[in-house]
Amino acid sequence: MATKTPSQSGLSRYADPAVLMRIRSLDLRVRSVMDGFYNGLHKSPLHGFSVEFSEYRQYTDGDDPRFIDWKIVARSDRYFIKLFEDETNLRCHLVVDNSRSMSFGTTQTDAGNTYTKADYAKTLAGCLAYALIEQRDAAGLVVFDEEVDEYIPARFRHGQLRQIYQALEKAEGGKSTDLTKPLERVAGQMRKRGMVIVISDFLAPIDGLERDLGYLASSGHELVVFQVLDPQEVNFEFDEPALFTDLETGEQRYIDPDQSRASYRMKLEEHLARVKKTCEKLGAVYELTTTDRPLELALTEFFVRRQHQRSSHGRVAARRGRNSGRAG
Amino acid sequence: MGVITPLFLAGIAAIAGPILFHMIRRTPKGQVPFSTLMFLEPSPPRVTRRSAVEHWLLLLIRATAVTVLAIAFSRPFLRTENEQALASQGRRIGILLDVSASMRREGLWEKALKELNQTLDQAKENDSFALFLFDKELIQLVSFEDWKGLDEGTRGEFLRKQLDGIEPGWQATDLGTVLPEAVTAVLDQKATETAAVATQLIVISDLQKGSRLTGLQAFDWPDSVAIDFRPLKSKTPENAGLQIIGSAEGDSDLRVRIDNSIDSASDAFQIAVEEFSPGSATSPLVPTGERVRERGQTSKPADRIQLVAHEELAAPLTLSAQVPAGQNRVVRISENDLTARATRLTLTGDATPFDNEAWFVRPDPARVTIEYYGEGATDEPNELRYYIERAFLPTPTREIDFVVASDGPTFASAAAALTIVAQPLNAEQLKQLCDEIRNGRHVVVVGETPEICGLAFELADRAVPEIVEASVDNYAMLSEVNLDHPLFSAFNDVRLADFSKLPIWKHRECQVDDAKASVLAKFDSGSPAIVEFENKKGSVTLFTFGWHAADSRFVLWSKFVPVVNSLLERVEGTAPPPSRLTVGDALPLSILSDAKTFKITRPSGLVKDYENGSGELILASEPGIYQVAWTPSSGPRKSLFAANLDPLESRTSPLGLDELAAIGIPLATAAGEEPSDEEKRQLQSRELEASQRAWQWLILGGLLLLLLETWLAGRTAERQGLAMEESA
Repeated sequence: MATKTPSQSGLSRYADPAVLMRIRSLDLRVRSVMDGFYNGLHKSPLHGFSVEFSEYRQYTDGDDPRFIDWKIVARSDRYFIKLFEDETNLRCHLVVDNSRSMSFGTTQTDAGNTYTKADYAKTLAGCLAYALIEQRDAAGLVVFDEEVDEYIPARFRHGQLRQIYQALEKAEGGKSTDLTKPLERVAGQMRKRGMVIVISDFLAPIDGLERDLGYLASSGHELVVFQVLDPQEVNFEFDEPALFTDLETGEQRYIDPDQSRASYRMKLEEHLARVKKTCEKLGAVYELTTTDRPLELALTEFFVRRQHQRSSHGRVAARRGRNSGRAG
Repeated sequence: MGVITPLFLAGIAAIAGPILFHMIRRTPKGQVPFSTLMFLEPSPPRVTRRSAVEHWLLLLIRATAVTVLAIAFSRPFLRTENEQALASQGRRIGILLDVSASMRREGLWEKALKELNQTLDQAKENDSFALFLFDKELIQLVSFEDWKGLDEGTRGEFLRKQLDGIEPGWQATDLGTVLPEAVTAVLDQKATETAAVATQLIVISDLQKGSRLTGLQAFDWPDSVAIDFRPLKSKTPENAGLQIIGSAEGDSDLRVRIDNSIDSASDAFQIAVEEFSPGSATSPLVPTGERVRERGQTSKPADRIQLVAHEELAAPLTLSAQVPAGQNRVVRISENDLTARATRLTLTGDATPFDNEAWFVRPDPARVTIEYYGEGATDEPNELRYYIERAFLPTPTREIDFVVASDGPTFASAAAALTIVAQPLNAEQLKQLCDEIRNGRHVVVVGETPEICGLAFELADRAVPEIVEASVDNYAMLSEVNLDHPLFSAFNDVRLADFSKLPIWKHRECQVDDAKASVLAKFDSGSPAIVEFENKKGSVTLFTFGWHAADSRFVLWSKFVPVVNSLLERVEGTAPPPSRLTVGDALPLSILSDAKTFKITRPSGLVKDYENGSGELILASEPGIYQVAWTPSSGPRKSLFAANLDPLESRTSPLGLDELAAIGIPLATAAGEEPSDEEKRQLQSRELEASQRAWQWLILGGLLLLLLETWLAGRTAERQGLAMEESA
């Protein structure tokens, strides 16, 4: 069953996913979204981060003379090179679910083709990567199903964005969903604080979700969770009884939608509530979006919420500092 | 309309299946892939309301197919008027009464009559009967037509009367021939009827092992006939039989076999060998078969002329033999003990007497006269006569009279004779011999000279061609021998057909262009060597070379004796007729050459005159010695023949009904198990159903409906699929 797109629902000032998803190239798709996004949003949402100084090292032959700290040379007449912890503001890993359940999609492009949750998630990931790289932040990518299919370490360098795009485009439909392994991998790679953005449908048992996300949260990483669902998954508006096939397990069940709709919606809401609760518990930014929703909206909402969250965190930290100073 | 198996009609309830399935909307229109089923529980099938039944035509076809199949399995049939007629027609019963020799055993015939009476008493008004007697042949006493033509009250009595005076004969049993004949006879009569009626053959017999069942296996038994065997049990099941298996022909001793049955209690037997003079044994009974076959010309008591013994018989010789039960033993009787012409052998020690006598007649040697026109002394090895006298040796079946007829013919008294001419004949001799040849005389001309050769042409009433002495370099040999001719047929084998060992130094040459003459052999020069001319009844065989040592080595040749003896065997009457017959065989009347009438004295003492040449077969209807007396031109003659019981008839152990069933005979139920009216009705229903076979058509119709359903369902599904795709 086809779902209405924003062009039909009055959200015409945003890039209509139905139109957007017709663009085959992820790069172009992302630019389409992000151009509009920047036109409407002049202030960088990631503003405030700076290059972190690490240490000095004595200059040896072969070092790039550009990095010589001339002030030290003036003071001590010795050549030192200034080393930086990182070249970017932020190290962010995009963890994108590519399990088989993500290949479900009923939303149609205006050409009549349907696009899947995976298409939407990849575009979303592409947009985020674009935004990060534009802000000179390091972006990395993990594509997973039950294993880690693609892994690109977070870097800020020339060609990183293209590499991410290629990895996203290359990723084909995988198998079942398992968050544990990719998150462990990310945790193993990220020695310093950073950001992890998980994009998934989370249509799998979530008993281990708190543990998996909690491990990253406890390491000081900032967590962002995008839950992408198809409108049909939310509404379950099938007409005819049919043999429903689970995309991940292949299991088949005779389902009469009229009979099952109410219980399905109830169970789904319970599930979504649990996911949201888990995220909130861990201080993660949780964003639920459906594939018929304009990406800009999802992104804006996310940035606004994050800024709000950061500011509230900042106020809490300042209050804590003042309280501790008074106490001291 | 009725059904055979009504229980299958319950299968009609199965149409509830298609109806229910049509009302259940559990027809997934296809598969829907979905991201996860973790929030979905399987839905139970949903039954729609009655008004929601889809595809009425499909439902109708499916329900009809189920109904048709259920009706087909219940095997329906249409009741017809014939069924009622069938019930009122009753059965057709053919009764076969065994009158073979084994039925002569004590008490069996009485039992058979009792069984017959019981069957007739149990008969219903509508039943019709035919009565047959059988041994090795089938004789119909009463047909269904006869029965139908009689008053209802007198039918049973009529049938019983037919059996008055009839007793078992001496013939062997041949069920293999008789039973199929009876079935055919009954069915032939049935074919004239309009409605189908149950037909039964009741066989009242002792069903002995020697009943010859061979023909029954190959017979294609019709479905509508059932055979009901009523086996009769003898008071004395054990039996030993006496059979002659070899006579003094060829073997000087006589061999007889004692065959003891497996259930026999005794094993010590004696054979009494006694001379038998025709007329010494008399039996007041006229054999059954004879009575029946000569219906309408029953013998009057005045015909029975008792032959009395005209000489005192010698005391019988007795031989003992131990024969255990189930075995047989051959006893030799020395030639010296068989001095009499006819001998009766009697077995004692056996409780069943009907097969305890065997009869033996020493064959009459034929008297053959060989007439020789030629010269030479009887003890001169260089002369032809020396060899001819010795070539024709007497045998037990043939006595030779050698007559030298140089001075005048003497063959007038000889019935069978061969004439050998080896010298010129005078005109009178030639004329007489010519007449003889025309009347059937066979003459051999040994052409020692061209003149003698010419005699053969004259005797055969042919023009004498030019005959000259052939000029032979060294010697001539026989070639182009006609091995198919009786003269040489004994050598018609690659291993024997070597004629190169016969050198011929001198021979005569002549041309034979006669179409009626056949050249049996030629010389290697192409000139005829042996020529046969036919002259009316007789024939002339010409040898164009001399047999004596001056002309050839013919008389010393290894094939000389066979060749000249085959000349003799061609003369009619030189081979004796068979003297041993089995009851039922025809008497060999070929011996009655030119007699106009002949007289036969049967073992029972019955004497009857017959006309010769009527072509009538006169059968040996009872065991014993038959005397044939006739008077040919040569004077009155008598000949004896011994007729014995068929050896198989002595095998009196009873046959099991299972053995009969095993060879495919459709056995009927026992007499006591008369089916009830309900069973009869069911039986009739079954027969009717079997003849109509409506189930086959119904099954075919059901299958066609299912095919139609498959096609229609496929088409509907296809349309729905297309509609779905369009709506999607």
